[in-house]
Parts: sequence; structure tokens; C-alpha cells
Amino acid sequence: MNSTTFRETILPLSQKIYPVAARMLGNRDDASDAVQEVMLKLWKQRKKLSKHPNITGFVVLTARNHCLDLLKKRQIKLVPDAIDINTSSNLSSHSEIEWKELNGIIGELIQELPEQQGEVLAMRDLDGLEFAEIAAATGLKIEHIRVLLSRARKHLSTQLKKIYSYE
Amino acid sequence: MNKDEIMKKYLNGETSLQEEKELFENSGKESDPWVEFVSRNNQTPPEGLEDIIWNKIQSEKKQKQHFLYGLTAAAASVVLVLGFIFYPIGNDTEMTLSQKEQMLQEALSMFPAEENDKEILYSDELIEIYVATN
Repeated sequence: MNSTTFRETILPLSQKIYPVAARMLGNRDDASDAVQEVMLKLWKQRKKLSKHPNITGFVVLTARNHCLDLLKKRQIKLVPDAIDINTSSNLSSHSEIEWKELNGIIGELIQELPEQQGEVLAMRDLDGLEFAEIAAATGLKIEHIRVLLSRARKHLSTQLKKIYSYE
Repeated sequence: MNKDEIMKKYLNGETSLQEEKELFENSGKESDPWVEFVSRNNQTPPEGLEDIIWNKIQSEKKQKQHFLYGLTAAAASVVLVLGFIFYPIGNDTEMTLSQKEQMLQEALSMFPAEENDKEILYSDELIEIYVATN
């Protein structure tokens, strides 16, 4: 794979792996650094890349593994209870409190889920990945991913209805 | 397909990304806490991220090239120095005329003096007849 092909096909995938890195690392700056490191890694492997049958899946897998390595080094929790990185400073104090509450509730609900369900849910709904990309990153079959995702969504939906119907 | 049908598909994990996008856009954040959570945690990459990465790749590429040029230059210098050591400039093996003459005289002096006095009378493939002159 030459420079032009890499720039046209691989580099745009940094847009796709950024949400994965941001969610896993819980920090925008760390996510940017991680994406850069992943792309440099892929640049060094570009000769092998062109022969790969699922390039996008491979890129997502590389990014996920890189983030897991970073987390191991830092010994930080994986599940996104720290997803308040998007908290905007111009929110009114009332809505900010509500948002923090909601964020905390859903963060806890996701943590309650079995690990695979939580991960698949985050990769699909937060990171916006295709099933094939999730399959490449997790090593699970697409049908299994659909089942895990369905269970996670239904569980969350039921729990959120319970919590918010009393308010 | 109405909203309830798409929601059912969504809960069953059967929707496409496009359908999910439409579902989230059409659902009110206020009425659905999950929609609000997903929308607010939607991570968009910083502007110009691709350019930053590309520039970094290019600068690493240049650094590597500079290193290779340096390495090649160093190797060439070593070869040059070794060349000077083992093959000095100027050909010292060539003899001067006086040295050649000296060598010739030395070679002639190796033959016995009496052989110089003999004269060949007859010579063919089988025999050689000498005549002594003294």
C-alpha cells in the first residue's frame, strides 16, 4: 500500500476509531494521542494491510487493543462510568445536575450488564460501529453480537422505564 | 415503518446504523434518557485530526530517510578510508629503467660463463651440436 492509498483509505478511519478511544480512555486528549499512535502503527504495517480482507475491522481491532494496553498500563477501569467528557460548560446548573444524575444512572446500569453485553452496546450505540467491525474487534460472531446487543438494550430500556416512570 | 416498529427492531438488535441514526434523531432527548445519554456522549474527533496524523507520519518518514542517508554516508566514508589504507595512491610496483637493467644483469649472471663461449653448429628437433671456441 503506497502513501496515497494509505491517506485515502486508512487515514479517514481515524474518525471511526476516535469515539472508541475516547470512550475507553475517558479523555479527549488521550484519545487523540491514541488515535495518532494507532495510525503510526498502521503506517508501519501498511504493506500487510492491503491484503487484509476486512481493513476497517482490523483498524478497529488495533485501536481497541492499543487502548486496552494503555488502560493496563494505567490500571484504569474499562466500563464507561467516566463518560462525562462531553459535559459542556455553558449548561445551566439545573440541567447540568440532571445530566450528571442521568450519566451516573446509565453508567451504573451499563456496569451492571455482563461484560460482553456492555462492550457490544457501547461499541454499537456510542461508537457507531457496524456489526462486522464489532465482530472483528471482539472475535464474536455477528449473530451472537445481535443477541448480546438485544439483551443489553432491553435490560437498559426496562430499567430506565422503571427509574423514570416514578419521577 | 413507524416509530414503534423501528423501536422494536432496535431492541431486537436488527436495525441498521442508518435506521438507528434516524430513530435517535426523531426521538426527543427529553422523553428518552437513553437517547439523551447517547447524543451527549457522541464523540466527534477534533478538527484537523487527519492532517495532524498525516504530518506526523511525514515527519517520521523524513527522520527515517535522514537516518538512512547518514548511515549510507558513514558506510561510504569507512569504505573510502579502508581503500586508502589497503590501496595507497601511486603504483609502487612499477620499476624504473635502471632497476630493470639491474635485474637483467642479475639474470644473465646466473648462467655459467663457459656456456656463453659455446657456438651452436647444428640444431634440429633431436640433436644440438656445439663447437667450443677456446
